[in-house]
Amino acid sequence: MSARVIETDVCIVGSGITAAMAAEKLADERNVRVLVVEAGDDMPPVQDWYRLRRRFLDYGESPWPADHLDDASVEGIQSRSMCVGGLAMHWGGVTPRFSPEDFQLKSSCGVGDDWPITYEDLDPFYQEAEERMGVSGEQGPADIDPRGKPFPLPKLPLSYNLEKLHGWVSAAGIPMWSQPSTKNSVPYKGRSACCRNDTCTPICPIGAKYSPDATWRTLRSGKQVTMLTRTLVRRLVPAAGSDRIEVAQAVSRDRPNEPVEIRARMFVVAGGYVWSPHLLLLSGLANRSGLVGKYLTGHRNVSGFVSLPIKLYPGLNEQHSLVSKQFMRKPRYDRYVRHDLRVWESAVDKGPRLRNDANELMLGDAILNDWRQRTQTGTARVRAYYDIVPARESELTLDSARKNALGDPLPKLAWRDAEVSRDLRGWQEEQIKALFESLAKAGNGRVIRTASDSFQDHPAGGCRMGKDASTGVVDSWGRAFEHQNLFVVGAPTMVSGSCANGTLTFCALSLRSAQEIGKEFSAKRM
Amino acid sequence: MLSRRTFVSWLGGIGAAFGIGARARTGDARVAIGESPEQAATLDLATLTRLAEVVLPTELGDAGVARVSRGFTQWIDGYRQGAELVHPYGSSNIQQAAASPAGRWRDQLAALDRYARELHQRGFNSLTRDQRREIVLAALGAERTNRMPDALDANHVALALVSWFFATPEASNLCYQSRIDRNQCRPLVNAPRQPLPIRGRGTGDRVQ
Repeated sequence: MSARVIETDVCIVGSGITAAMAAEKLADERNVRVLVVEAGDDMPPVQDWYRLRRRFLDYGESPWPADHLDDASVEGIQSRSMCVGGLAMHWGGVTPRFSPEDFQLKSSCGVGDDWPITYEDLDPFYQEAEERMGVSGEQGPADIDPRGKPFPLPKLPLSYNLEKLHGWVSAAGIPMWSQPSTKNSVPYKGRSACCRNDTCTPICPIGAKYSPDATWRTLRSGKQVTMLTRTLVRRLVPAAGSDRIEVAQAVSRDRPNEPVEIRARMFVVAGGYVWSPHLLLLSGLANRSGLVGKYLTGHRNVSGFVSLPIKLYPGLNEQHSLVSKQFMRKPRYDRYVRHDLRVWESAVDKGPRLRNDANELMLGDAILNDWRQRTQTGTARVRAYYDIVPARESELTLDSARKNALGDPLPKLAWRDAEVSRDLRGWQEEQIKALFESLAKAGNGRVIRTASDSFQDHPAGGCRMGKDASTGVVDSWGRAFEHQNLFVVGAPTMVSGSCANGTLTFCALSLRSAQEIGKEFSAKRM
Repeated sequence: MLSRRTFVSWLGGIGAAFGIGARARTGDARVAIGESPEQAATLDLATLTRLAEVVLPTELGDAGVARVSRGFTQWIDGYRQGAELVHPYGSSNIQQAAASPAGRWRDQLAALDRYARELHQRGFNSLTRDQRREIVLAALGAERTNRMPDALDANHVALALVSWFFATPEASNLCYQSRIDRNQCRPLVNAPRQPLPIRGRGTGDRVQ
């Protein structure tokens, strides 16, 4: 059967948050046609979100049903999502920047590798991402939290609970402030202000939290950006005798027997840390150095709960937190450890229970009275993400044992620390737990419990950027060293995963790539 | 006082009434939403309300207890077997809602009534509060957990009702005697303020 051929200027594979950033910047600034190809489905419209949230609260139902492909279950994946908007339909909207040390790990801390760009190089794109999404933030101390311009929106106010907890951590000598978030503190870009519905993850029922569908709604109503949903790109194919990519071979999930060919001047792979390296491996592209799929990165965390002699009212704004970047800067010990620090209100250890201290079953008034007695004091949740230096063998490979419905091997992920992180892991976690203990002591409280997660959060890497083809799959702009018209954007290009939520950095990197991609097309008159 | 052994022995053949772990997830096996025959198993509201009078706080008052009981039955009537559940963070497993516990809970309410007739020659709804409480405590005697279970995972309808109510924003308001109004739309500008105290018996926004 002959293929359906579609021609465009830029073909973006994937429709997650980094794709949305790149497409919007290109459409805003350049005379360019963009085709976005998404394997998954559109998600429910905003007017359904309150109802979907209610189902989530009442029954634990997913507010994004069918946001994945049944035949794309992958070993080692953290979270599964393939839909218009991608994983950022679920995200918490938390948007810290990385610290300058993250880009110069080798130079400033003596571990891992330097990125081919600095914090200063990315600062304007951080700002642009914050403005495009709408980040509400508070400037931390300038020596800890450098930034070129103010946040576009006022900070999210601290709740009564967080104000109390701020007093506690201040007494402990730790500067903390309102966590920057893409949750509107005031109406912004047609989206309303946050009203503390407090289900940011998995769904903000009013769209006060940014999610990529907001960008796609605007772009798809215009003429420059088209989206092809339910269409899976299987291969990128270079022109004969050339390194330039000529066509994306795809298949419609609705008409699997009818191949789709997308011909474009530029190809942008925006499939996140899993599906981007996977597509390159399937296509046999950009991999002369053998680095495609390597250096998967992220960060682990140590979390805890601290009982404090402070009356709190859990539920005022549970998903908002205090943050400190103090420990993200140069390590305070001879050995390497960097981490963020966040503090939330919590109801842990303060909820209603069935049995009293005498182990007697309680009902009705007894439960309520017992609950009241135990809520005269409060609980804080504390957590620190700590930096991990990835090993080269922290990798995504093609899984010979698991194939999708089309017969293509699925990806398989295995996470491995570099030697320095493997050796220091226990000590690093102990330092963080000791910090929690000292915090508790400063507030005359006690640590209820701590836990360390084994998985790496905010995963990234797999197509890391480098100074040249021997150290990276792409250059600092995301352009494949081996293919002039092929870009990988966002999370996969990261060299290391820092110790803070990565999505804002994914977006800033994508915008920086879009700036470079845009040079191929004429500028719009502004 | 009834012993747990006596009570279970009397229950005899209705083992389904104690379907421990009945809400095990269905895992990868997809089932059509709403296929369960238990879906239509509406609870007996009169018996549930008399049960609620024993297991819910008296501060709710009679009207509040009746309102919470109605809310509970409406809630379980809205349950959909096979609905896709929210993704567990850090896992690629997709899970669906298991069979509704409504049928089991209906049987448990009927069992409370049958036992009341056996013991007192009167139906559960006609017993005094203390008599009902004695029967309920016997039914829950085997509960060893200290933690409130997820209402859908509760082994007994009495426990499900308790768990369901105490997880509501209304229960939080009642506990703190303040308008926290958890998970409800509240102006951001009010976030820094201490929640307003609730005066009298009202508990602020209420369950259905």
